[in-house]
Amino acid sequence: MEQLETRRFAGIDIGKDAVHLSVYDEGKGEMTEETFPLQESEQEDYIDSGLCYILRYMEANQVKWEDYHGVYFTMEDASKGCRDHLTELLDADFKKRHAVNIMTRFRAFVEYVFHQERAVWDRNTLLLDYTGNILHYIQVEQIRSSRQKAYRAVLREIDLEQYDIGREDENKDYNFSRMIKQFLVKHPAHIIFLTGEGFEGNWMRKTLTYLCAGRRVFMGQNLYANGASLYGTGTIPFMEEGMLLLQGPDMVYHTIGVTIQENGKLKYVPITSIGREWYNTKGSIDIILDKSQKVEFFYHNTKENEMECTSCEIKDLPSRPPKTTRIRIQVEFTSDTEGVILLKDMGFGTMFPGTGKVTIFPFKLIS
Amino acid sequence: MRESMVCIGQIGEEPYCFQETGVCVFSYEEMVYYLSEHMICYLYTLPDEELLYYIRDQLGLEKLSRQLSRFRDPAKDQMKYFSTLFREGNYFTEDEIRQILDEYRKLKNMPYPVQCKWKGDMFLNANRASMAIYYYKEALRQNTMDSAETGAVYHNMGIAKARLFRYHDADVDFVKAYQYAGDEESLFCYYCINVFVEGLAQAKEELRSFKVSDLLLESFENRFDAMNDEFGFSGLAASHKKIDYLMLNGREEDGMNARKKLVRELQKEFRQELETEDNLYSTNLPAKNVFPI
Repeated sequence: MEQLETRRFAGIDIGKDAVHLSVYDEGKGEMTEETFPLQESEQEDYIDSGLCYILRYMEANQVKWEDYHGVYFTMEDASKGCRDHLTELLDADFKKRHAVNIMTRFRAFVEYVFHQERAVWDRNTLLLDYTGNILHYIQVEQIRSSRQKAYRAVLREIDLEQYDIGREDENKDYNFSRMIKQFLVKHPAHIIFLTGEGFEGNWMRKTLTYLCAGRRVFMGQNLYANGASLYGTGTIPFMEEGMLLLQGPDMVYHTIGVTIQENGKLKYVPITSIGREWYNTKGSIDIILDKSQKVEFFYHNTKENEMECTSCEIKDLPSRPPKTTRIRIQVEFTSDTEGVILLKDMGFGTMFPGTGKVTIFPFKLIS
Repeated sequence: MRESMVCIGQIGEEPYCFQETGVCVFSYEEMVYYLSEHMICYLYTLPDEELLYYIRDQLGLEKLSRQLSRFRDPAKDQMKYFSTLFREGNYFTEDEIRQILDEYRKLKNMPYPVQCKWKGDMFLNANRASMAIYYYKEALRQNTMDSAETGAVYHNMGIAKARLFRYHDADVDFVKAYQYAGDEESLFCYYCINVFVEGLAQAKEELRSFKVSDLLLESFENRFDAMNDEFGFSGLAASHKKIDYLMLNGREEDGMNARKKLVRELQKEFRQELETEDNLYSTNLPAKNVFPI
């Protein structure tokens, strides 16, 4: 009997020390994880080396890019240079079948959490990433507990030097446990995820006692890759509704939109949504101009819940009756607070042909 | 004040063409705008069922298509069909929808000849001269319009016939229009056609038979000259000039070829209209049956 085709999504986390591959099989609901540590000599161009490991693994297991329904990358350093380098390294076969989707580790973790059962994200959840001698933490908390719930994820870091915690310190467990005790008083959590090479080895005794007191604690190195692969299964509804605020590097927390009148009431219609990196934030909408050739844009700061309004006048449009000019609005970000709005005259079918003229309207958001 | 509205549905990959006017639409907004401007076409019939499939498949508005299919039942009020269609998006405000439907109601209650006259005007504006003539004839058949209205119908029918190169018929209609309504505009059209067909001197002579003043004749001449000057800058005039130049400079063969090409292009442009006119009376037009059997 012919087997039913199920979708498989790959998440690849490229770190400086190791590269992780997670494949989520939607049919079976199973996650397969692979980790490839990088040698010191390979760490100079860790993106290239990491990708080579993945390709070698795929070749050995006779897997091709086309076997995955979607491939998503997450990187330790998701700066423009690294993103471009990865895009450059990916071959034509990959690009023919998939778009290059790169996200930050911060977002990959949030994707992971919100793709789990409700109990994991409905209460405070914490990720501790111990890499180098720095402890990065991501806290996911509920900020509005009314009927329409809202959540916030924050990324911060703690320099462990301040707590006299060294890499090979013999009092590491004692000092770390003290630090974590204070930390958990300030940042209460019900579920804690541990990741990073710092947690490896058997040095945690007291620390684990504190961490596990009345909490569920999970440890794994593939969290980010898992999150990236789960992203392929679908977007988080809270994110689409603007109810999940992500406060971290490269994250956009403004929505850009227009207002319309619905049943006599003004309604804000966002063109872009929050919760994505600026380079992954895009939006498009078609509007019809009424009597004026002016479009009003609203920038909604979801962090401060403030609204800013600005207007853009489209000049040199041919004379047409009211409501016969269709404008395609496209919003693109060039940084987390800057971007450009493109307004294209689409006309009105064959009755009033469009000129295709594009008006460029740059914007700068007040953070 | 509302300055813009968000579009709904998708843009169709293929257009939907309204057969009456040949206008093609690609989106919900274009469709409702067109329908609101051409409600006169739907006094006794609703838009084709094909439109519902287009709304569902190309515009992605399945729910609307389902709702509209329920109102296609002839026993149901046609108003519901249009009010459901116009209320789907935010393209029209509630006041605008009410105004469109009020006008539609008024149109439905108009005497049949007036409805036909307006329908004819709509087709004339849409460059559908044959259809326009059909409806003008329908309007005149009942003989219930006053002389001003009858004159207006003859005048517009004259324009439609002139567009189909039926100059002699057009002449007759303009004269009738002048006799009924006494409008000098009809007389001017009559003069123009005569200039075009018989020449300037003959046209002047013809006009004098209507006992027009010298002042009016002079004003017609000036207006015709202005029109002629304007035509001189058109692409068609340039083609004519080129043909004349070739003929006068010993290149008769090239001139004849250019003339043939021009005629072919014009025939191509008008073929559909001329063929429509031939077949018009054998087709089932969406007109009210005036003499029920």
